[in-house]
Amino acid sequence: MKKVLIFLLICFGNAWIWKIFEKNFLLGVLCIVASLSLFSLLISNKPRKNLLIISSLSLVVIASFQIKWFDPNSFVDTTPLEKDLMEKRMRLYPNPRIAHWLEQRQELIAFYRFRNNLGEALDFNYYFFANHPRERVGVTEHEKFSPVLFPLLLVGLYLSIKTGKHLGFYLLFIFILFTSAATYTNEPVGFALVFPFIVSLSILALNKYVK
Amino acid sequence: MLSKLSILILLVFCIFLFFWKLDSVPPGFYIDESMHSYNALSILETGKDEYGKSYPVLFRFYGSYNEPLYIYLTSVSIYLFGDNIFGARFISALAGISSVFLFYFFIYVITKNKITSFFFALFAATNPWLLFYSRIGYEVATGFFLFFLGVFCFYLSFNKPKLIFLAYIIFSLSTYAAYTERFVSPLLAIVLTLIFKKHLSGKFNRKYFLLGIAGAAIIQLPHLVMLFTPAFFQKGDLFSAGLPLLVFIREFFSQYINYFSPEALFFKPDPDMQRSLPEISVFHLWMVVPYFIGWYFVFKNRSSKLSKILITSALITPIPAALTHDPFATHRAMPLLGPQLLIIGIGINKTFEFLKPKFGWLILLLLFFLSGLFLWRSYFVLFPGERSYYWGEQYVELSKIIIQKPETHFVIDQGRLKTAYATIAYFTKIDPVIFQKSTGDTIKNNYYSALPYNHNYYFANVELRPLNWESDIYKDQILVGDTLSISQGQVEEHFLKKEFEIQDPLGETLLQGFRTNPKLKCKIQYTNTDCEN
Repeated sequence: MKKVLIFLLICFGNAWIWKIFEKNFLLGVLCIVASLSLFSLLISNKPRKNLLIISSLSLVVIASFQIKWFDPNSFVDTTPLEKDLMEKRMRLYPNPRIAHWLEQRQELIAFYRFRNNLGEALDFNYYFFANHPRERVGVTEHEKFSPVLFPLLLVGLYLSIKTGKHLGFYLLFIFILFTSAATYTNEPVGFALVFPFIVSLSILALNKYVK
Repeated sequence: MLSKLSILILLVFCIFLFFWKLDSVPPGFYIDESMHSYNALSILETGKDEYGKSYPVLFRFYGSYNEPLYIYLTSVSIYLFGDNIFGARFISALAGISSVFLFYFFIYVITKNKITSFFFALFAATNPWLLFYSRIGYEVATGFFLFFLGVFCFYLSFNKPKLIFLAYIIFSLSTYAAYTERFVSPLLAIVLTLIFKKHLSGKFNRKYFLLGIAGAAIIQLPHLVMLFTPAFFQKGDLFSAGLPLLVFIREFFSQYINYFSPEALFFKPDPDMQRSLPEISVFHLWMVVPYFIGWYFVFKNRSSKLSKILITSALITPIPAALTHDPFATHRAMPLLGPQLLIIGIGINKTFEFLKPKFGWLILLLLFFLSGLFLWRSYFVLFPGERSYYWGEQYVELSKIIIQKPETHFVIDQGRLKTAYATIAYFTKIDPVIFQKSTGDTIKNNYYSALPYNHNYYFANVELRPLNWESDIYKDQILVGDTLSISQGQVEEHFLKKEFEIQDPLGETLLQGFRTNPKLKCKIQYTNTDCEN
């Protein structure tokens, strides 16, 4: 009963899940399912293949939503302003070939954008403080979780790593992190793939210390 | 013991990295640099600062009352290398190199692994945060070095009690190096004292502890005298004061957490264009992995002495910076570099232990070259090209023009543009005695009273003030400003003639100089008393 109440409190007691439901009801349901299966994975003493499969499947379906909404050209297309900056930068290098490789190659442009998205996906302030104090220009930021949850996330992270038994959980996390960075969807959905991980780790921490 | 070869390689590498093109990268000469260096020159030649105050405890500058240590040290480097950009930045570069070796010895004491320690030292040398502040002519890197030296001595004191005395002395001394350390060093010293009170009050350690406290207190006497003057807390307006309590708490924690957020540390630069590098954050991108690994092991062993010191210093150092409005102010949070980089070093060591030695070597080598490549791109290619405006390169170039025209009167617009008086004074080699006379006696006689700052200056053939379009055009002089200060319409209206234009490496106009035409202006518009002359 305690676990159920804690799960409901954290899973539904944040603004983000309701914005996800608003965007797409099925996506919201999948986030809840993924959160539940990941949390069950964390608290089980033995490796549970079925939980890993459910978690993986739900995350893959969430990822498919993100991929559907994602525009691959956003990784390599450049605006006139960006082209102007690129041309200016080309003049600064001592060697035009190095300049071309570091400034004009599409692979590097895509890498820089992927890097920026990855940074955003790993930003604590993005999830707990509506990206304050580094709000993005032209984006309506909103708080995903209450800042009160942040220490719980850290404790949950520590507890899960300490057991040394959750390799599957962390491999899934790395997968969703890279997928999120590669297929970033605009707000308010944002990095929805990260939602189940924050929720499951926070519940783990609260569950351990609340009697 | 570390091999002599590794120390030699590291030294040669650091000397190259920290001194190569020191006078041209960063581009120009930032106002903070010029204020420090001009006051250092003034102290060297006259024993007084720019206002004529003898050997001040805090240097007034434009009302900021900066700590004195860097200025006094820079007077030595200016004596040795001349009153130029190299002489002004030398002390910072030296502090940076010293910090790299400090990191080297510290990580070796922790890990006892020569290979990872050596590579870690190379990563410390190529760390953007350390390199950036080690190549500028103001106090940040010097303050950091002293603070971190204090932390290192404190850690070593568990095996060598005599170092307890040195740790407290150095903590106290570091408060004279930079504004941040004025608050962070005493706070950390107090918290470490409370955490390790058993160790410090032990039979053999007590005397060193008491001597250290006494020495630290004596060193703080000048500060204690300043404490009751308006000069001591002059930067108080930076703090997020006046907010409702809950809003203040939320604001503080959002700023505070930002100093630990991976995005701010590994992905995005400091948002301020003057104190950041293009396209690179304060740590290299790949360090996000050892960052989490390092923090895990530090927290796991949190009862150990090292972990207590690292966790305490990491949690305390961003507090003053987080209390201000600035998101991720790298200069104010500089002490945080120490514990964070060490924690990353622990993460690197743990990863290296996990991997096979040959594979580990290759990965470290590859990471070093990649780090070096992207650092070179950001620091030596993009930075001097894109940020010269923010570093006042236009005023360095303007100074060269002023020197060539000693008979011409210049009026430099300061209505909107950043303060430039110290840069002009330094590069046009204004005699400090003449400059001191131009500031008058009022400030000298009320030095620590924090009198309002006057942005206008007049020395030699230079005036720095807002342009006055009702009178300036009737005098024979050169008006200097950017494209907003002096528009094309004003040029045509007042018959101004362009004398020079200063551009950045990308061709953007930074400053323009226009000679007035009072004869023609008076002929057409005889409304100003200057026309009678």
